Amino acid sequence: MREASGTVDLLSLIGSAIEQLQQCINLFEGEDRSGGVQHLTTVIRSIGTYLEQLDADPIVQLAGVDPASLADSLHHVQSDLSSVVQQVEHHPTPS
Amino acid sequence: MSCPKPGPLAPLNNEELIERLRSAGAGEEAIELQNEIVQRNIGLVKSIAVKFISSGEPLDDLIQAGYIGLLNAAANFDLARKTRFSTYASYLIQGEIRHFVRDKHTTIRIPQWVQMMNRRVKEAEEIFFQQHGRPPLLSELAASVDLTEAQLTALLRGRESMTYVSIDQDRRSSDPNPAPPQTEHLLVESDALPFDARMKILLAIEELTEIQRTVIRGLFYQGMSQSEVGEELGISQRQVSRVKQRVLDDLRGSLFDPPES
Repeated sequence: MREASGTVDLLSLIGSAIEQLQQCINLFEGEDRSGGVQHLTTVIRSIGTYLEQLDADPIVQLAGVDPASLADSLHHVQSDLSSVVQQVEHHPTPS
Repeated sequence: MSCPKPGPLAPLNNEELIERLRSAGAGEEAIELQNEIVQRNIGLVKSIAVKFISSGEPLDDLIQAGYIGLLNAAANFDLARKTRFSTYASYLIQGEIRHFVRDKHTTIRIPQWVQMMNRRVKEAEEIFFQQHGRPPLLSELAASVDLTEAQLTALLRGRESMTYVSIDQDRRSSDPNPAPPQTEHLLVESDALPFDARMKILLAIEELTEIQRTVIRGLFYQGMSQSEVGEELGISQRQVSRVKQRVLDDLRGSLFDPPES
């Protein structure tokens, strides 16, 4: 996934996001909270970047996916992940 | 700052206070005893009320509802039984707060991640049963849904709590001193990551894989040739081919169906 610049396609985004989220769970379970949050933030940002370019993604057009409902789903993922970041940041660090 | 002087009720424990309350009738002494019981158990009420904070109701309101449960417990506690008052009170406080929350919400909103995990657990149970001819052990079920046993226990108890509320009410009215449920594991969490946060991440993964499946279905089952697709989209057949190749590459490295080692 090319995060900051260039084109991003949906499948690259998803593949990378799933990988990051799984790493993120592993980091949290290894009590590396900041590492976990970093991965979550990266995913949130990547989705944001992708959403800006969604209309130009040839995969979306090829697959006949409705861009509006796709954007809704991705916003939903973003919002869930943002609430996790918030929750983790406000959750007291285990002793 | 000096400590307040201990009152005459200080040496009495909860059970002794209740015993005295029973014989006090309805006078001033009864009010004083009730106040003492409430004061003694404020911490208990608060500790239970905070578990319901995710309901969205203000903590003060939850605590107020908890006090009603506490006073009901003081009124109904059966001294002849060898149960501790705090055990019995915890149960009624929890019940009263749950009733309060339920009354405030016309429908119980079950978080999406809970629905998702319940569905996943149910599917895993069915698959296991089909494969082994018996229900899975907790450890086996937990492993199949990528949870710890403690997390799965919490999830199953949560599911149970959504269904036994009305029975709970019947039990309370017919039995003034029902056996308390084992709820101490209800909010078990990972030390490092709150349980529902973990579930939200899993839900995000599931949502992403669902989008991916939709894309794959669209790409491979629409029955158009690469040239037709290219023409419709205003891109070359070669570009269509490249996109499809990318999809196939991604599928090979798919995270939710990894190759067996």
